Amino acid sequence: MTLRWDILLRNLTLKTAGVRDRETVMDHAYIREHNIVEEYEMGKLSSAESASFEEHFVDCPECQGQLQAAHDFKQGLQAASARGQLLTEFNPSTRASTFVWRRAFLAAAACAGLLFLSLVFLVQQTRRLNREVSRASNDAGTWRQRYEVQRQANAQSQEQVGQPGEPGPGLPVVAVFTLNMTRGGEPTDSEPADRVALSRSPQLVVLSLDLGGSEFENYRATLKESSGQIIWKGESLVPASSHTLSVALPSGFFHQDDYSLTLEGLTRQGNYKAAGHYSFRVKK
Amino acid sequence: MTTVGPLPAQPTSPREVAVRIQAGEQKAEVELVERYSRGVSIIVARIVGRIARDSSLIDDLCQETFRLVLEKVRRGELREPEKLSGFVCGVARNLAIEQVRQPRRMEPLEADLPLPDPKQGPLDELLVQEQIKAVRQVLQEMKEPRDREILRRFYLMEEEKESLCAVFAITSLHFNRVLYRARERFRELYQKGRN
Repeated sequence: MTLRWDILLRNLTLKTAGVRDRETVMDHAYIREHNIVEEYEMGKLSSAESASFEEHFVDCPECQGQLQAAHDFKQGLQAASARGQLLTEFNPSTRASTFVWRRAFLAAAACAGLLFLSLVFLVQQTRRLNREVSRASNDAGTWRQRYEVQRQANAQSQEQVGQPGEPGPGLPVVAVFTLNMTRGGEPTDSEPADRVALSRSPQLVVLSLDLGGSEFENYRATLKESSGQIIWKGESLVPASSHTLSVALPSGFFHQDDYSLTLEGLTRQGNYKAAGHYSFRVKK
Repeated sequence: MTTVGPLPAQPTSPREVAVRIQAGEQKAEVELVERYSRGVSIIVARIVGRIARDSSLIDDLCQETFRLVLEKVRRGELREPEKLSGFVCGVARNLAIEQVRQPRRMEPLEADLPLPDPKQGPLDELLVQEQIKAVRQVLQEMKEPRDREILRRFYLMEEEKESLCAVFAITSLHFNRVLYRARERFRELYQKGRN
């Protein structure tokens, strides 16, 4: 029971002391931590804090020395300021601007850094763009050259095709001939199965090939003269309609001769397989 | 009371001093005066400093403080001897405050006339010059202009610590460190200059 009373009393004391901690408990750690010496010297402590600190330092030579130093320092500072002897240290014109200048300097340095980075970036971009322009210029020259060659070729073709009294290039004359696949789809030495009669004037000859039931997605065709010389090859030919593939050639390709046309279909495995053979005789 | 004897080798507690005075030991009374005189002087000077024209008022108040303290301790009016320090402070404070409240009634009419500042003597001027010299050296040794500005605004402009911490974006700990270092360096330089 006695022990309990002790605990109660101690708790009560601690609670009371807790409220007045700053007023009653002052040791050197607390004094230093809370800057009590300067606060006291400047008269910024509460009356309770002052009384508590006085109770400490009145018997503490160390704190008395610090108080004296704080007092002398403040007095010296005030005297020097009053006599204008702190112009170097506290020059108002420089003092006020010290931080401004420092901040301005930092800001200027940051801006200069950004500017430099921007310049480096711009120079790099300019160099890259110049390289691209140069490359594009070269490409343009090449394309211009190709265009010129193509234009000349076209002009030559037009010259070949264009005859007096003939319609212009916009209205070609088309002759369509249907070719039947030879028996078995293999080349034979027998008489050509079909006859193609062409006029002497230039025209577009369309050979309509009967596919005979073969169903490939695309074909390639090889046209040979009777001598066996290949005069034309076409690839990636797609049937225009079911069971029919059309091949358009200028009539200039042909002269009076027997021709054979071999058709091969592209399998799904990527190989070409014989799809048909056509033979025809051209008469002009 | 004016005779000062050798102090004991081991520092005694305030309670022990009070008990010995209550027991009539003269040596303990001397010890009390020696022990508390500087602190009492600081307390009194802080309160009456603004009205004190010279140090004689402070000396008188200190003497009166010790007279009252010794009388009360001898008579056993100090019921808790371990609180001797607080008791001494209280007496000194009350006397000084009383002096501040009633000074003019006791002074002659001529007191209103401007009197020469006692601190303008050659010795005082020399001390002030030493202080200024030490202060300037302390400030010049500070590497951070910010720290100098903190001292200026705290001591001269009397700005609050919290607002200065906020303005300069520093912690309370850093603020205390700036003041502590400046003060300790000043003390070192000032002592050196005086010696």
